[in-house]
Amino acid sequence: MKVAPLKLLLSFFAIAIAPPAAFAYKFGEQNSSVLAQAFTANAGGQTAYAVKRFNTDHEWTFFANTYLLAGGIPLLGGVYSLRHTFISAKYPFQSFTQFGLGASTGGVVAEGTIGMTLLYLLRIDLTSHLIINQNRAISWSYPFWTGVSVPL
Amino acid sequence: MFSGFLSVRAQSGQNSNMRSILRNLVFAFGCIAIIALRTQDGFAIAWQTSASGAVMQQPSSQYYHYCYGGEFQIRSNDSARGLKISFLQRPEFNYGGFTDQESAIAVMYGGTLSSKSFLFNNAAAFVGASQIDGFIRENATNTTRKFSSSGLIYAFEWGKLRDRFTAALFHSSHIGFGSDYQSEAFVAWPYIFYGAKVGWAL
Repeated sequence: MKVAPLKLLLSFFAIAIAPPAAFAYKFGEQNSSVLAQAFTANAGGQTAYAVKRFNTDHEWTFFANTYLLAGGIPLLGGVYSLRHTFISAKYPFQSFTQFGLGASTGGVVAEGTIGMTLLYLLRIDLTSHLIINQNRAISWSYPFWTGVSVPL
Repeated sequence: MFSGFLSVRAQSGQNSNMRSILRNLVFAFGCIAIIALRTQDGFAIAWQTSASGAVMQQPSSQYYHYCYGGEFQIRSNDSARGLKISFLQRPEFNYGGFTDQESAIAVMYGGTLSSKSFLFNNAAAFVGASQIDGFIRENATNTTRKFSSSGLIYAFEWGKLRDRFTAALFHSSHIGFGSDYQSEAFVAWPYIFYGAKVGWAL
């Protein structure tokens, strides 16, 4: 099936861009993100799931990293972050940074993130974790942690 | 200066496009910083020099290596925004018949996010372009293999900014771009740094 590029573009805009854009314009912020895939120094990257709820000032994150194991099961954790917004959700390109603290099955976790949201939907984070337990401090990076952001 | 530095280290055509992008990014960051600084009300800048000590973790390694370096920053007087060049180097390490060393250089743009941060008065974030260069030498044959990694970098700082004096803890992460087939397989090369710096501004 051949679809004209313009028609495809207009369809994509009507379905994927316009509703969240209208919501963001009306309410000023998007509220939920789901991230699933990040790069790492190994083929296949790392599958790391995160569910995030946020507004302009803070964010709650719950994550599960299937690439890292703690006690034989994927690393699980939650982080509360303070959020600083550079470009707000009223624009197609948004950017922000966050500092957070939380707990995980590997120990206490500190988080720093610089991220962006493209066309109200595609979210890309650059995230660092520092996990501290009684034995050691483990630093871990989530380059290009990618997912979607929705106004829910 | 950086264009030359970055281009002469290219050892194969594989990363030449990436290096070209990096050079353009450096140029773009410079332009943005100058424009941003000049559009400030009551335009005033400070020239800050700092010395740094840090630990570095290589990609997929769980070891921390000591490194040292410094940075030079052109920033607005209130530190709200600025452009900085930072350098960190791991000392030469000789073990098992091999000698190796790495250094990292970065150009970053950013500034203070909050002057009311917890405990200290300055929390800052930066983003930019960076490069890691290193070598491994086999001592018996004096054969040296060089390696490098170009990519982007982000950094966070948390510390004290008082008049001309700055002291801060920092974290930065260099994300080295892989070759095309590595990128398709979600491969990147993160170098992680944690450290402290002390600086003085003119």
